[in-house]
Amino acid sequence: MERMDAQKARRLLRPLRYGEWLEAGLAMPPKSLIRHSIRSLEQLAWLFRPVSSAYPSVDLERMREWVAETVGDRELAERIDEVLRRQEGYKQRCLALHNLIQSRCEALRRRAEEEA
Amino acid sequence: MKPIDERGYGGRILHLKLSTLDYEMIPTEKYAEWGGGNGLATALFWDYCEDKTIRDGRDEKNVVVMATSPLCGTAAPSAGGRCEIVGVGCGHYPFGWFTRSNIGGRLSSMLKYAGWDAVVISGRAPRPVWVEITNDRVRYHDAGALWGMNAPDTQKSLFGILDRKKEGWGWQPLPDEEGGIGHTTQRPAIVCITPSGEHRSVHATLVHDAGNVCGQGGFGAVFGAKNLKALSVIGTGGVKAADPAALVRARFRVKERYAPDPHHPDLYHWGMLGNPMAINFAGHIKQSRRQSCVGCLMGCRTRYGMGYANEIKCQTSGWYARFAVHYAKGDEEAVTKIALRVGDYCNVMGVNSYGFQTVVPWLESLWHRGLLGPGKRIDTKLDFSKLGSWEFGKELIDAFAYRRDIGELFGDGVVHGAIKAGLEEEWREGRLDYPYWGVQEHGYDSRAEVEWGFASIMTERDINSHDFNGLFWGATLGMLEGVPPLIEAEELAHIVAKKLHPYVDGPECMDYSDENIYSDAVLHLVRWYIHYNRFWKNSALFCDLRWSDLFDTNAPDNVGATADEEVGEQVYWNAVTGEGISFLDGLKRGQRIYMLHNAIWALQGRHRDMVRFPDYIYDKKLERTELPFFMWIGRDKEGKWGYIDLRGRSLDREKFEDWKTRFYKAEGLDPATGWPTERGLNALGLSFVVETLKAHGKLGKES
Repeated sequence: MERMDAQKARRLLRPLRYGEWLEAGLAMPPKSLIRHSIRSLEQLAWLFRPVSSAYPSVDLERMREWVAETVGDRELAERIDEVLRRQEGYKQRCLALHNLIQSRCEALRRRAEEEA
Repeated sequence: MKPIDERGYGGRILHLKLSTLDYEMIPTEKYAEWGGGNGLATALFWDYCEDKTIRDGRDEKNVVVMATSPLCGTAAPSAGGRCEIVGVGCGHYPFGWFTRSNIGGRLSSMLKYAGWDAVVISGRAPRPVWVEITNDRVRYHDAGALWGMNAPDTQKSLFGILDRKKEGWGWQPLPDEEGGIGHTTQRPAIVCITPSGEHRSVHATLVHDAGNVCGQGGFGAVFGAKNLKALSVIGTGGVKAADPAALVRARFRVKERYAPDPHHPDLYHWGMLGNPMAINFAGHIKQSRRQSCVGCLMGCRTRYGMGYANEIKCQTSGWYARFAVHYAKGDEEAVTKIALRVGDYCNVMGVNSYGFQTVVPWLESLWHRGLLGPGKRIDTKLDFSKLGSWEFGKELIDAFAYRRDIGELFGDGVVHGAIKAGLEEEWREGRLDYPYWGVQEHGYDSRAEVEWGFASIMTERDINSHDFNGLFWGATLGMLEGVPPLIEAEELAHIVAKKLHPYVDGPECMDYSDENIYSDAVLHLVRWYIHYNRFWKNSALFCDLRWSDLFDTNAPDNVGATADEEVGEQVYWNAVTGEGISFLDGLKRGQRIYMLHNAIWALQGRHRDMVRFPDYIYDKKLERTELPFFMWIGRDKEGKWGYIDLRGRSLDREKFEDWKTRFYKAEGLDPATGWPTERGLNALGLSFVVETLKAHGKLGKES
């Protein structure tokens, strides 16, 4: 992770304002969807967590743009882009994205708490 | 033909005359040509509602009809448990249309076991009453002590009152003033209102048992306006089928061919009958079991070990989860329990939860934008910073139930409330997503899944009928999972086209590409959709969650059970009624019923100029959906079939108006007004309607 100060780490973990949220859903086969509005990076990690009965429903490219432009985490957005370029199915990419985003959130939290 | 009570009918209809606390019995024979359910009920409404121009269901002159079908109380697969309710509703925009809704559970079968095919409710009781129906015994009771009670308390109180031996509910003597020997162990099937109906909120539902609810149309408020707190029904009879062996054979056959295996559910199944769905969002509650309405092949509801949220499912169980997840900071178990508890409370308080999934995110957005809060444009004391908590959910539902705070603003309708608050643009521009007649968007945008939107706007509410919708779910969820479509696009189009014959000649009807959605092929698909709904679903009462079954991957050839000569809808209908009708005969009956609806709407003041979507459906492209795509099938410019993403378009006003004109002509309606013509009415055996429309100046001109 690029060198960053605690303030920047806290900024990337911040809850976003209304209007900045990412609209997404949780799809539950065979036939249901819970709508969600994702309001922070940690909530994005939650959306991608692997559960047996549901999986995230989101436009992945739009999600990457949201991370880059709205959250402001361009480094993470680049790593997301690498995952999206892989020739994998949607579900495999979601698993990879969960690991990536979850790890990022943990690292940001540790950095944010270092100088708290 | 056998006597009427040996071919699925009870043989009589109960007319409750609330104004005089009296009742009469109407022979069903007079109305049997309409089948049952919606058709039977609409014909009764036509005869018993003297003023069909009323525009608010809370008007004393309104007549409500609850109607069963011959299949209720039988083993017809997923067709034995529904009850249709019709009358003038409330809460629509611009005003309350003659409308319909439906409720599951035990109510319709219990009515049938008591020998009643329908209940007509007219007038207004001089004080709150509840009605006890035990077989042919009908009694009015004072409901003063029940008024103000929620749904479970009302039903438990009535169980207590009807427990005549006061020994707990075991063998109960049937009420018989001559001291008869009849006994039953059955608890009554009760349908009741709650404070929301008593306060005449248009969001008020009718509630039966824990989770059977009649939502759309505001019939809870209609009952409340009539001072009718509850109906309690016990029936100790049965339902006689004309050919019971044929019914049982067909039931076993359809189960062998289509029913899902509950032990090995195929989550990627396409179709309706074979779908293993238990639609609840409570993935994290371990102690639970399935529950169903009478006669279902495989239930869609759940009972939980935690003692609440029983029988709630689908949207009711999940709409609050998106807020609870923020409040509970992602704690799975907490989120699930909050969501289920709030959903359950909607049924406890008899408030229609469906609108909340659209209204509450909109209200939250207004709060963030400074338009809602204490002293704001929408003045409310509700603390939206607590949205997602159980406490907030309860406060919100109570506000709607008791018509206080924002519940009063929206008490006559959501769109009405937005306009009253000076926020009409929120609706017209789509931030408040209410695209048809002041009713919330269901989840399948009219710009994408056109048959849903077109049929909703050409009727009077969210049509809420999933006949074609399995394609969207199968293709979209499969794509998310990385599973290729289980049925190739062209094959699927041909399967459906064959089911819709002779309405459509070929597979083009399923092509939802931009160039084809206004075509005659799609037009006739929508006509089939409406006619099927009006008879087979709303009148014969086949349940929407299992029928129609157009395509089904449980069958080796992917062909669904609908209209099948061994297991199609007509097979069960004929086994019970002995009528010997074809599947197409049923569609013709549906067309007739739809024409009668159009006659009533014309009397209420409908004109084709009103039949349009709000501006955003035409002016804004559908860009963002919760799922990353909205999959359907269509042809490219070379005519090659494939799966296409329907996002990125809006409807074209002029093309839709032209489509409407052709639709009206096809239905025998005057394209200039949308009103029934004399020729159209006579062709469907509705000559009795002509003079009434003529007298009101609402008879359409022949083209």
